[in-house]
Amino acid sequence: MSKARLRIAGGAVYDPANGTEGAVRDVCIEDGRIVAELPREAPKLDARGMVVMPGGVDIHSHIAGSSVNHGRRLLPEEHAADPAPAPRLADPDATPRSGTGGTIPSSFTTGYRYAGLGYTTAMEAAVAPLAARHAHCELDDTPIIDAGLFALLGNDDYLLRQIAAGEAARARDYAAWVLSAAGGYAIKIVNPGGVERWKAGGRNVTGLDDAVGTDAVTPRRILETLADAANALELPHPVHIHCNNLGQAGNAATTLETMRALAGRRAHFTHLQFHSYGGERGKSWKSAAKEVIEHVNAHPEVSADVGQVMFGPATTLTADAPVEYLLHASSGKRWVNVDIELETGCGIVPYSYKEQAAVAALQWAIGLELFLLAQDPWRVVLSTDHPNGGSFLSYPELIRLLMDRGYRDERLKQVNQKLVAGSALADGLAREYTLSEIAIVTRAGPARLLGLSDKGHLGVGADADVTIYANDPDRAKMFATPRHVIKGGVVVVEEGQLRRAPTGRRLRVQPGYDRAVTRDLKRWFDGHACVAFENYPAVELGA
Amino acid sequence: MSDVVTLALRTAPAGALELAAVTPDRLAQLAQREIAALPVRHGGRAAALGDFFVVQGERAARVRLEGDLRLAEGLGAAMTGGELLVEGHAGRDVGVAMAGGTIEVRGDTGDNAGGALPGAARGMVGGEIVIRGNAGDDAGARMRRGLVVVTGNAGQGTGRGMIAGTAVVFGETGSDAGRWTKRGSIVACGPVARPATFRYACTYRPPHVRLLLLYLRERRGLDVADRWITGRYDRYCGDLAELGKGEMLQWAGE
Repeated sequence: MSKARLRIAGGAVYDPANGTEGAVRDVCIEDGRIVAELPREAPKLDARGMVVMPGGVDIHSHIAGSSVNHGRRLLPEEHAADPAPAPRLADPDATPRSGTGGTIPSSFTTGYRYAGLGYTTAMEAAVAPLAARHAHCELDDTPIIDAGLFALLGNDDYLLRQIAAGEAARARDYAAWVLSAAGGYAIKIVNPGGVERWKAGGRNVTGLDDAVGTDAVTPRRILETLADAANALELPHPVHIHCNNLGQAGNAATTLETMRALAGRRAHFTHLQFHSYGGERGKSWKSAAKEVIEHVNAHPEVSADVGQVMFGPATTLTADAPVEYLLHASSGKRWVNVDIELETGCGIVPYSYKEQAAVAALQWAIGLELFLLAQDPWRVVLSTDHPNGGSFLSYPELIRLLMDRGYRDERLKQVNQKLVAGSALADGLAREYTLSEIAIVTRAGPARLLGLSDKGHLGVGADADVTIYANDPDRAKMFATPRHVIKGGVVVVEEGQLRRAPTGRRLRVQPGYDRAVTRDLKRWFDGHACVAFENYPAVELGA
Repeated sequence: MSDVVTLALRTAPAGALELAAVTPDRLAQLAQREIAALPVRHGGRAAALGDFFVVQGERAARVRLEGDLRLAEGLGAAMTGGELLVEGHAGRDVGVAMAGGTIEVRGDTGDNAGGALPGAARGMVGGEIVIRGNAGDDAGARMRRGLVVVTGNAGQGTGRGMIAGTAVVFGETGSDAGRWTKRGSIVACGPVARPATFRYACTYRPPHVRLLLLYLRERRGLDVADRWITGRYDRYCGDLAELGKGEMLQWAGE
């Protein structure tokens, strides 16, 4: 099938970014882009009776890099249990690759499975800049999907020094330089200050005003500095924040304080579910989803992805090493602590969320509460923080939970009731997501939050990333097995079979910065770093 | 229902042919057509057993494989019962993580026969593997229970990290045998490169070795020399870098 032209004919189109909600119309593609019209003789794909949406966009996922690869090394039994044979591609010259699945699939399998799910763009959400080269190499081996990576900042020595010295401008120039050098797309902050303090032999921070090394550096100052930097640099995506105190009972207070600290600044709060717990640390757990989502609802500069927990196997994997250490200590499960020598940290613990476990059931319920109480789907989008809350392969099941109240209530009855009782979900949330809202939280919303103007919609000039679903009343089945997926105008999934695997693009930004920072940075590298300044960038820096 | 399921290699594989699906306990449940449709992987691509083998018989827990299977991997992996007979050489991972039943290979095997899956804490947990030929490296690695017998030579790391169980080698045993062994027995009728962390205990005529070798001669039809059955053995305890409750029994003469 030629890449040049294709008319997707007669499908019900869900393109919320352009105000289309199920209207039956043709979608025309030429040279990898959406066009207004095609000549009558252009090749046609019959989509009558089907649902046509833009390709899925995952705003937060862990699919490449040092941490992910250490996770794979930690999970050999998953590889034995889920071998992934090479697909049979249509092009005899293409080289399909076999691999392994499980919660952290191998790189090729990750690309194939994302595409098989109708997703055409994904963001690797945590890359240590010093290990960015590794992440790029893996993304080079992750076919089909367009991908970008978020560079970890906020626990790195040079930045903290600039904050201590009150050098906000230099901190901003440094952030811009790191982002460019890492070939990154956005700035990611993980447990600001907490990882650094823990690495230095102290305890994790517990609040926004704990001193990190010196009183002049606090989580609050780190957050303000980087949020201001991202907004001043006019990055397409604002700071992507993983708050302090992840996974702790009572952490909703910290989350709300963080949101207030950044009041008026654009900021994205990731895997919000893991930060919306009430109760008291070490004593009690309850849902604080309502308080957190009400703040999000009332503040249009704030956005979030949910980080839903799904029952079944998962691998918790985060730059927040102190949290993973706690999880390892409390669960007794194996762990690894890696990237600790880099500008950040990382801990990994294989995990399983069980329906009969009280806390897991509460986490599951809190995620659903956030979804169902969010007023603006454009700002509260879908993620499972793959593979932390569950694999991206569980998105279809999550979509069914959102769209089908009867099914959701049935599932709610099957989980441990100890902590769930009394939550908003148990009190009965009637909302059911519409197909249009699903299209927002899985593609249009993430694309808009990421500032990807060519993705997440089907307007003229957009990337020709299109997913076509059979309109099955079982929404889990519908979203698990798209009939056709088109990526950049190439039909990659045909009649439910993966048939082509083109190379995806890398999404990156190159913000401008004052070159003066590089002279100071070079001095710092000469004195403190393990690599030469010149060798640090993972990608070619523009002149 | 038949006495035996015979799988005769029809098409020689060009690369690794992963046959972990071929276990007697599974074949005992399946009709001929279902057996031929069992999933295998050839060079990483999905294929069916019938693409490579002519299947005769069905629903039998005795399985015979014919042909040059040096590229076949994982025969009898994790099997829990039944009999698997390989009439010729076999590739790596024969009986890996096996739990019960018997495997006999009338030829050489590749590495990791009766061993463990990558990263697994334990390998074989039961059953018997008899290799009438040479074994590659890591035969019986991380074994928890069961018996691995090699009538020829064994490569490096035989019984590596054994938790318990028995490995017997009639020929030469390569280096690192029994390294990191907790418990278990390695019986070496020929020369063995013993790690320095095994300590000499005594020389005696162990009754359990005599019983074991008589069993192998009488019941399994192996060619076991009288001098091994009645002879003296040097007993070494190890691995002292681990629990140290394992033993290596090296034949020391008549």
